[in-house]
Amino acid sequence: MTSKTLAGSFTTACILLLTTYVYAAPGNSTYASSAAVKGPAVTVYMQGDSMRFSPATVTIHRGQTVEWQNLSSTQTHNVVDDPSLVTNPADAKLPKGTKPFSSALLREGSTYEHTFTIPGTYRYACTPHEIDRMVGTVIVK
Amino acid sequence: MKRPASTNARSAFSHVLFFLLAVIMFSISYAVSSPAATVQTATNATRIARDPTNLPAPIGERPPAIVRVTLTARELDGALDPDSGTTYHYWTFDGTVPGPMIRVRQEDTVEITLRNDAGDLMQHSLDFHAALGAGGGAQYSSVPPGEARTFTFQATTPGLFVYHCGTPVIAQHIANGMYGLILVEPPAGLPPVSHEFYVMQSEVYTTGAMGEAGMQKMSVSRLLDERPNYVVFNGAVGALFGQRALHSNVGDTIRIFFGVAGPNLTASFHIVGGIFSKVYGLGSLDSSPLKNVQTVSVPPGAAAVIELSTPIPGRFMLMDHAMSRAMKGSMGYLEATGPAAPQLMHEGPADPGSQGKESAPSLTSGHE
Repeated sequence: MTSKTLAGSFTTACILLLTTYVYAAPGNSTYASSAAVKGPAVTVYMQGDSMRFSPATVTIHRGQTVEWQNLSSTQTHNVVDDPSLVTNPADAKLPKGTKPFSSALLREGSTYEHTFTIPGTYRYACTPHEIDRMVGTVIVK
Repeated sequence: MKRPASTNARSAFSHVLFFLLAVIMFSISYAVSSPAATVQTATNATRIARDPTNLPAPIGERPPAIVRVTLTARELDGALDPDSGTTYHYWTFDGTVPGPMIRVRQEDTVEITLRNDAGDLMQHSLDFHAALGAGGGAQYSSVPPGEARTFTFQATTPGLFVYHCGTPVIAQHIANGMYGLILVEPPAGLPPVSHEFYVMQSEVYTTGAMGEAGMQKMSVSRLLDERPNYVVFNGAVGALFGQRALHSNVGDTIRIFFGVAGPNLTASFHIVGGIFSKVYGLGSLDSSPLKNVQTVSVPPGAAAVIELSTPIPGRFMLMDHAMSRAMKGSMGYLEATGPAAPQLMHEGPADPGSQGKESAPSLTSGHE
């Protein structure tokens, strides 16, 4: 191997190692665990009679998945991040270049998952309860 | 290095083509995004207002029984103010406002099946004020779209009771139209009358002004402030006008099963030019009725059985005597047909022969 190629390989290896270190390092408490590569990194619940996402704001790393679970026996809900499906455009915000997404109507026991590959701030709503201000945020780092 | 002439021509051509394409694209997107004027006309919108004559007949003589009732929760667009082309996304039982009137007798076992249309977005339930038990039944009847739930209650108590959807936000479910009446007749039933009618009062809260054409949206802030833009009988402005007015004949007795769904306002129910001969206040059927009442106060979630006769022909307005509400839609008509009754009211002086003479001291006799 030439010295140039060796240097190149060495640099690539360093970059790879550094990247792995950054992603594998234990994050600070506001971040979802980055060790969960399979399955959701965090779950947002809808429960009881309330018209709220719990928690209303979650923060994850790009590539991670958020799961929404409807635990309520009295309310159907959905998760909609699509400006064409909400009443107030401010309730469905997507970072530039991101495709809108939305779940089916979720009854008790139903779940929905979405994997976030593009960083930024996502604002979504439950459309049957948008009027009751049932909105949430996902921050993707 | 100078470019060859043919390249220049080609380049110019492609520039022009690009410009033309841009103009075309812009025009298309402008045309597509311009809001088209859409006005819902009275003839297009679905009538959701329940006919006041649409109620079950008296139970009659029979022993207690199991009564099975199916109600279907149905969300649909309907006419809120047909003359103005105003429409609203109602939530209903069986597609009408109010929902069906249920009629049973004391000691009946009432089995209720609530279906929820598959196309609905919300879960719905039922709270019967006639029922003793969890949520008035809401605990056992909360049903997602596309499903059905059944529960049973004992009709222990006679009276005229409200029922409504018991799913939070209840004020919203009621304001959007999910309510009705259930009559539990006492064992002896009610005395016969010429006509019975089913009327309920409620409010509608919209972001648009009253009478604004087109599809209206619910206003949560107005709902929370209890400031409705519409106060209506049977779900829509003008529901009890014309053909759908209450019709009677001179000499008939009528009975109005009147309920107030609210969600927030107490009704001061009055019929202009009429006096209620009997009022079973607050829907109590085993108390003696009040006699000869001009205006009945009925709070939200309550009802009254109101009886009167129609001795004079003409058009008599039903209203909420909180008069400002008449401008928000709380007007309906009772039309009585038959021979005139001048002995009860006539134009002009009391005795035509005595015009100009006073047979009794008048109120205007002056001070000496």
